[in-house]
Amino acid sequence: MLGTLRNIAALAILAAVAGFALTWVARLTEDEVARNRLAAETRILRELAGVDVDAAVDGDLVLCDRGQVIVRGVGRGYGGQFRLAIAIGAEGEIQGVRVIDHQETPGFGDILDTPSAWLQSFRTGDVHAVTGATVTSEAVMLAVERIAGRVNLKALCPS
Amino acid sequence: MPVLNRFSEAAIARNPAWVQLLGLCPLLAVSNTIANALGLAVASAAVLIGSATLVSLARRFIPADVRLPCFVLVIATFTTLVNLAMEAYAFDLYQRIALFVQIIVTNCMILARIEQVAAKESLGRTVLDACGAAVGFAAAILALGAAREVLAIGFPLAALPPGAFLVAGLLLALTNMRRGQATDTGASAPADEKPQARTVAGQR
Repeated sequence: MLGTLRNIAALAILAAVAGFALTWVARLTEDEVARNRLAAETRILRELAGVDVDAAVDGDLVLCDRGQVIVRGVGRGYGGQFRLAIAIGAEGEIQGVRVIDHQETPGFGDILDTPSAWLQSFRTGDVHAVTGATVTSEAVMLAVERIAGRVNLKALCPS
Repeated sequence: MPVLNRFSEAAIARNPAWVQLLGLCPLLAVSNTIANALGLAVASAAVLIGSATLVSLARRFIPADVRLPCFVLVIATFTTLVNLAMEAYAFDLYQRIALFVQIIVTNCMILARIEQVAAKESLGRTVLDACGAAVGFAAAILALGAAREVLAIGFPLAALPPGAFLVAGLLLALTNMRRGQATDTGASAPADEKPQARTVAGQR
């Protein structure tokens, strides 16, 4: 009985110390982490738009400029939720797709990291699922279809 | 000098990667370039030295029955701390090797070092052993990273995952050849080396 209590006490104390340390460091680094993530997202969005954009804006609409709309959205892949950005032209055509962040298995998720020939194929409209990464690639295709289909260009971006 | 012996024994005679064959998953996965290899080596070193120090300090308070959960908790905490620090202060590197930093928690090299050394020995010896093991692991992963990056210039396969196995196998064969020669001439090889290797292999 005493031994059991001792075991529980040791684990509880250790867990409490670990919890405090982690919370403290997480709080210490959270601003810097948020800044880094935003900078990475801005880099991706800028590259997609070809012009300066602000990734910090609220909501899904990132840019509405000379017939080009950039929207963000989420999808669900093999490893969880991923975020992506889609550039849509004045006629509703897809001009580009970029994945902002994802948790797909390394190797299988490489098709989502720029530069990716597979993501480029969205520009032609001739997109196929990738062998070996079926779940990941189909999830992206589905998300692009859903997000681009939902975008009402005139309402979002009256020119 | 005992201090130097302790360090070099941990780094060379009981090198975690080439002699004990522990921690090979990150070793193979992240050794595609020297920069990635260095990043993982530093992260592993921080987790190993931090956890070993803490366990050695607290070893009298950790009950034998629950020592493994305690060790894993300590290692997991240090791994997460290193992960947070990297995400905040080395974001580019973090984006490339984050997953392999996170799975340092399952690196059996670290748990083995803590179970065999930190849980039993004084703080000074533990820190020396942990530093030695960290340097040994860093040397192994950097050697593999450098070999792959150089070989990839004329032999692109070396940079790809199968190349990791090929190059690691060749380096391991080289080390074994050297160790074989050393044992033949009776020059090196501490007496406890062979039983050591057997117990570790049994745990793997």
